[in-house]
Amino acid sequence: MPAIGLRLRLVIPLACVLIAYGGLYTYLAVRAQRTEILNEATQSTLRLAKTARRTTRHAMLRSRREDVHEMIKEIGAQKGIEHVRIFNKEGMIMYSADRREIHRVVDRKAEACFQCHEAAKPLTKLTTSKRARVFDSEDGHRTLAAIDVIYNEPSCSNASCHVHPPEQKLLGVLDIGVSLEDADQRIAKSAQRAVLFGGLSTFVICCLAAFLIHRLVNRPVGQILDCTRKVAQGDLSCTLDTGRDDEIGVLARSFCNMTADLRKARIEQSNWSQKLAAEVEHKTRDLKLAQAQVMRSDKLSSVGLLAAGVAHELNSPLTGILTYAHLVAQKLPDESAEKKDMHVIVTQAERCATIIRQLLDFSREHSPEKKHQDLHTVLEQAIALVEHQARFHNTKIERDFAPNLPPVLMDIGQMQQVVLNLLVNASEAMPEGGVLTVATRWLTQPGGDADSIQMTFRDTGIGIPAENISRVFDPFFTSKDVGKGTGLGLAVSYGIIERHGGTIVADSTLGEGSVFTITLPLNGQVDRPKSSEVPTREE
Amino acid sequence: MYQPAKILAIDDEEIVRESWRRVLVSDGHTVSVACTADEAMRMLAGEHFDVVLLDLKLPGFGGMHLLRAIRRLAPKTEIVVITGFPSLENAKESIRLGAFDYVTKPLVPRALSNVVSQVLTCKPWKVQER
Repeated sequence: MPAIGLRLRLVIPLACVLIAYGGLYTYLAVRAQRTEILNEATQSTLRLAKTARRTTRHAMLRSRREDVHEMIKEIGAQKGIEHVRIFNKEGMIMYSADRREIHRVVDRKAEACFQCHEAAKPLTKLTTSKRARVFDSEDGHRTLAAIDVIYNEPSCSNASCHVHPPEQKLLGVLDIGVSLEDADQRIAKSAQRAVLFGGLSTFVICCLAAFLIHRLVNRPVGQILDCTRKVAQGDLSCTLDTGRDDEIGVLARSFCNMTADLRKARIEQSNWSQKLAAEVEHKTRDLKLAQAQVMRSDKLSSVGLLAAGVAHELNSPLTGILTYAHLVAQKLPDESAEKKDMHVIVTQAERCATIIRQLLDFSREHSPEKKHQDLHTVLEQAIALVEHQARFHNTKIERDFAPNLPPVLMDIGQMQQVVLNLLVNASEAMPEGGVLTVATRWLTQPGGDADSIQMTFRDTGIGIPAENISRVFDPFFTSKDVGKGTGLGLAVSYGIIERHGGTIVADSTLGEGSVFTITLPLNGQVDRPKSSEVPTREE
Repeated sequence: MYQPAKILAIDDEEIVRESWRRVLVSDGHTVSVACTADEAMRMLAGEHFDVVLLDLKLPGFGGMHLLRAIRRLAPKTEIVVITGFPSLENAKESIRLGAFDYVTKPLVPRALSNVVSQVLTCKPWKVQER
């Protein structure tokens, strides 16, 4: 069953009240008018009866019966007069406008006599209201009849005719009947008008009320309702403007404000969610990086210990091999096959010696001798060392150095070793030549304690396969041909950067190039420049 | 050029001692060997050596102590420290205590010959300075 709308809820009871009130008002008005018309007719008829009695009085005193008859006839001939009669005390019609009625005796129960003869002892005096009566005539319409009592006045009893003895109180009654047809028609028309006017008024008021309710209540409430539905469906963009200052206007404005607050809250929540997701992602990445670093650090540490032990144990036998091979070779004739073979032994043993030396370099974990150094000087010196080498002939080295870079606490020798290692690796990754971009950045954090310096080495070389990117810092991992690299360079670099409290990470796209990023902490040891040139980590 | 010299090679590993000896003998030097610090001190007390090749890691006696002791016992003898456990601290300490050079193992014959050659080339100049 459909819900009854607000408009119907308001209009139906209002219409009921209006109809009831209109009906009652119309009824009362019609009744009052009817009573008034009837009273007016009654008074008029009573006056007419009284006039007729007085008119005929003189003729009666003179016993001029014909004159009385004529008068009665004249009166009865007037429009609307239905009958005019004079009864004597015994109920006989003495005079009448209708001569056929004369000398007819009427029953005391007749409507003209009943008012006085109702009681056992007939009344001699009647109140005004009792002297008039209304009854339905034979013609089908109502008739108002009024009687006027003819008392035996002294002038009557003293008259020469002595017809009426003085003890007689009443001589007769004049009864006059007036048709109420006109009055009833007036009443009916008046009632018709009242009902029509009442009905029309009620209808108009109902329509006006419905229109006003629609305009003032239904429409704005409907707008608010539409808006609430949209809000419920998640559309917070709807706005309301009822242009009113009343309660509904205030409600609409409150709703708009609430929606705006909700929209703002949703945007804030969305921003917070995005921020939170980004922060979680960032922290997860940091955590993974830290875990990888810890794992790599542990691995390097254990590999370093192993390497140191192995290298030392191999030192002595290798010294023997090298020395004795060398001595034997000296004794062999030049160009002999044996001497050539011995030379191979010496060369390979020397290669072993080099590996052992690198292993020892790798395993050495002496603390770096840190001093505040200009990183750009270190980079320039390292670049100057390599850029004239044959392997860098096809390599263009570009510098993208940050201005006003503060000095960094570092072991200049170790840092140079790292930089050289990365420069050489980059050139080897670009056998056909390319561009190597060396960049520096000053990364700031709120408070300044976590400021750091970032160095990147970006080449346009062959890149590192994804499956190898996590292993590039592992000791002995190398993509070079056998005999061309020990796979310790990046491991040593990693150890050095780690001992400086920094990080080194590799990123690469196969066929496009690689980026090695070194981050060194400043540990809040420098004053920031006042300018806003320094980018933040979020940048 | 330099004159053939008397050299004492101190290392606890026989193959190392013998290797050094063979290389240096082939270069014309007279080479004695010692495998412990005590033996080395005894030999140094008994005769003069131009050059001592000293392994820093000797059983029972720290190489640095021995370096200090040799420096006191034979101030005219040049000492070359040779170690399988190189470190910057040790190298600096060795040079501070008067070692001529600080080289790392494994030492290829050519490198050994070169370092001894450098010592003997520079030694007359150092004697003059003293």
